Amino acid sequence: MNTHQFLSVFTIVDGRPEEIEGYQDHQCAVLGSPVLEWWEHVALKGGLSAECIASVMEYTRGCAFQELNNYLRYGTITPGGKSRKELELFKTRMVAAIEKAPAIPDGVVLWRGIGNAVGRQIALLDIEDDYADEAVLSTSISFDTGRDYAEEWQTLPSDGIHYTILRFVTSEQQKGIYYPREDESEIILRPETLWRVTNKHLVEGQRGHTKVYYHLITMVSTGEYS
Amino acid sequence: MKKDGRFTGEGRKVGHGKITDEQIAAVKRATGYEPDIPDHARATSKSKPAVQAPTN
Repeated sequence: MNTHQFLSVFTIVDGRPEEIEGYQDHQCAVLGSPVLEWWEHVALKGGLSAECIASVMEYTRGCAFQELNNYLRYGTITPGGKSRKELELFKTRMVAAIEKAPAIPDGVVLWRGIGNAVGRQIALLDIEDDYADEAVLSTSISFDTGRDYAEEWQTLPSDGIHYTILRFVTSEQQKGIYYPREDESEIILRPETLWRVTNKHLVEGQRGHTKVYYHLITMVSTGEYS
Repeated sequence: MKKDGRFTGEGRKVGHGKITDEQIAAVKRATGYEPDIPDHARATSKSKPAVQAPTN
């Protein structure tokens, strides 16, 4: 995928040319303090149990996050994997860790690309609608990372390729664990966090002869859980 | 596990509600533009400002 091609289309729509990268740097600076706060004061200095810290580490490595989230979304137990009881404990510890996290400053943008199974349904959300996911929610302050996780969906082949990308805007003392491993700049949010749709943008691009559409759904924290 | 028994994958619509001035401000601060929110979706109407209580 030609990153610059899509970034340029994206920035035209938002009327913020050249700001995507710069804005991300700004967000990293804003979030720098909470990260240290969580790891140094909450995680390492006794505010959180070793089991909870281990759960966060496990979630961010390997396939444990998929196992947990498949269970939370579909009730699926992975053969040879964790039992239902272990998965419930995993969730409990993740929630405890997130609840101990410092609030993310208001007005930080978190991106999340949606898989093709529900991309179209979520693109149909409207302003005022509330959205929640039963799973532990992985987001990123990087637009590129969010977009890379989005999977394409189609209505008709002649209609081009569609992607749905959520743009979460933090508010209401939203809590989350900033886990900037590798280049993902991940922020982990609590399951069932309730978001309210405030904006929808359809961004049009071109890949070869194929039209590409990004459905950007902007949502803001409500401070509640579903 | 689910309130309505539906599983739609990565999240779902779970209701709706008004958008507060604070939420609009957060979006504006984050994105640089005033979100185009219709009046009926706002907790505080733009066309009908809140009536202030008398001061005496």
